[in-house]
Amino acid sequence: MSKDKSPFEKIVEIPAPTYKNTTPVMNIGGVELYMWDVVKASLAARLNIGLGGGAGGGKSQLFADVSGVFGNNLTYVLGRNGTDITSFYKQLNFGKLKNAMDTGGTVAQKDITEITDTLSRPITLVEEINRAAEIVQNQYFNVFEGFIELDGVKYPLGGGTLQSFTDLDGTVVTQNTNYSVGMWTANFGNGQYTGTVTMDKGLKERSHMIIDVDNFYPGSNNPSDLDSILHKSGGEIRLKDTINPEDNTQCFIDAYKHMKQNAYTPHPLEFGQELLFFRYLVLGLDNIPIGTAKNSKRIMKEVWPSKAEEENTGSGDEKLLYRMVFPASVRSGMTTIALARSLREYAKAKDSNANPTVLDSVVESFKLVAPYGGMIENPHLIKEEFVGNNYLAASRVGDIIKTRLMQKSDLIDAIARVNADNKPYTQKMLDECTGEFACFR
Amino acid sequence: MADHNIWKHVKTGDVSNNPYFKETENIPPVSDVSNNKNAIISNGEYIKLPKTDTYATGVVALQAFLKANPSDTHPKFTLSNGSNVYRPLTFKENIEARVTEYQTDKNADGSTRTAEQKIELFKNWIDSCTGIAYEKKKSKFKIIPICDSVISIPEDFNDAFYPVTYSKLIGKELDSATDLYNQDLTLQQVLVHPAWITALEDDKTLLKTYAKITFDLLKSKYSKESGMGFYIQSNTAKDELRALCVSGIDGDSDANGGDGLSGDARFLRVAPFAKK
Repeated sequence: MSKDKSPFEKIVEIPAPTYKNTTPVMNIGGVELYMWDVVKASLAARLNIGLGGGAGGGKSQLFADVSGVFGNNLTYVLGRNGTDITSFYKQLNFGKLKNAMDTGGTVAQKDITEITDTLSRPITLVEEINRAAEIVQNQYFNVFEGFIELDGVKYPLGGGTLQSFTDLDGTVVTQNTNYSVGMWTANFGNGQYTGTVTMDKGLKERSHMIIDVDNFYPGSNNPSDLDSILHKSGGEIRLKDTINPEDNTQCFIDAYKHMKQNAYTPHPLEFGQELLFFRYLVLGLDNIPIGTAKNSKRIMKEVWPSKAEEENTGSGDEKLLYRMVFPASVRSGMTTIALARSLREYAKAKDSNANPTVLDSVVESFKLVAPYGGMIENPHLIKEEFVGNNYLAASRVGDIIKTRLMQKSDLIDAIARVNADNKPYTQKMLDECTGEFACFR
Repeated sequence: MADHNIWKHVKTGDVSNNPYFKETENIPPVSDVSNNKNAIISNGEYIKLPKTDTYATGVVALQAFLKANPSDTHPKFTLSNGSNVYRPLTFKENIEARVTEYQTDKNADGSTRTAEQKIELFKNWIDSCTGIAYEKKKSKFKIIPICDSVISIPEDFNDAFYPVTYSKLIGKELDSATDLYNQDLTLQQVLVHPAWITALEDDKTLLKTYAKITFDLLKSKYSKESGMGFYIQSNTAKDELRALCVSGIDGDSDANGGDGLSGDARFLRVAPFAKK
């Protein structure tokens, strides 16, 4: 008798109802992952997703397919200045509910059902988010954090249940595992989209993963994708919603619970590397050899990267690290590690022979999280060396980081061993923990 | 009080070969690396030994390890004094190791090897027991595939070269004045290069295979169309004997016959579970 499928094995098997794109986004552990794979892996980790790029490349269809996978059970918002997401939820008669709770009164069952149904929707999709002014975009902060605030009261989004997790020390932690994800699309381009505005850095960070789909355009790796898209369109050019969709929400909730348990009890052989790579993303990438700034880009405030440019800091690969890479915030670093874990799980579920390493997964995750998540800066340098394409810049930086960390693989193993054994570092190890690797001490 | 050291939950693979640990430190020797995931992941059928400060200490460390952990897969050599000792791999064997690792798709445990695992042996230089001797004030040199003198080198030897009498050494003689040395080579130049062919003991098939892998890597990693130079000494003040090593891919996978024996050394040993 075959064993039950894991949550990730089930997710891997969920096909895209309409979207077709076999242009690889990454190869991890010997397995190619496409856009549909990466989006599902991200959803399994309950990470928000932003899709940017030129109009008409399939962003909206991709999310329409995601909607179908979740039984078309989503809150849909069109990014316009007149959109007021708070008003949208206020229409649900929260006032009556709150009043009833405060005074012990009653509220109609219809109102309660409407409120709970709306709040429990797993997905909030904002289309064309950058057609709304930044002040409107900021309303989505809380939604992307998984709650709404009305009249001083926080209401969690996404249906959830109390779930117990056991950590490595055997302590049982009980949490509400609400599953809600924010998704948005935006038209990026060379100024050809009138009415679009810039996006707030805070919103970008909360978007967790932003993909410029132009880098993975349908057909660019396999032109027959276009044949299929044209042939199966049935002459319909508009978005195709999924008719009578199967609701797979529970698969993603199960995968998310699985990931949460993994976060409490990471694989012992991977845990040490994860701890050190997290330090490297948050602290190591902050390093810059400018003593007056205590070797910290963060401390340089607004003079970074201009001062590094003026002083011609670094050369070769280091030039890019010092002048174009801003360190991950704690949140971005956690996002990178969480996505990396999910990508490893997904790759192994897609191909049982896959052997993704922690480093490979973290680097591939970095390439998706960093470009628009506040880690790739210096537009002039990006324009000069990467044709103004943040993804290409992040991809190169990812490769540089990978090489530098691989060169320190012996050191990383040694640190993991002495820390695990609670022993002091040897002098040779301490000597190597300098510069960007000082965070390993 | 609760123990808040989350690192206590971390496990590591084999660190017995980790250069950050001194050999005297209490790291248990690995008698059967086939059961050790990390060793398999890192090196497949070949294990990189810790880097040592000199060539001589590297040879002695290799022999000491294998004496403590006898192997029937790592090659031995009978010295001129009759003793049978484990020897470093030859230059050709090191190249074979790289090719083998690169072309092996599965680990011993059946798992699929990653691209990184396959190029693991390309990441560092590797020393050998292949000697390269230079005739003083001449451009002539000899390549000695298995060199007795460097295998039996005294542990405290710390000079750049081993003093020898060139004329007494047995090996194929070449002349650096007649070919391209000390510069990058193209793939076609490598395939007909007399020193590369001699160093690989006339195995042109191996040379072709290795050069193809190397040039593919150079192109993909560094966008380079040339590499695999053959670097040597010439017109030395005295007759000299040194050991031939192969550089890592970041050093263009050059053959290097000019390195001093007093410098750092790194050898491979053959894993106990390697195919014979």
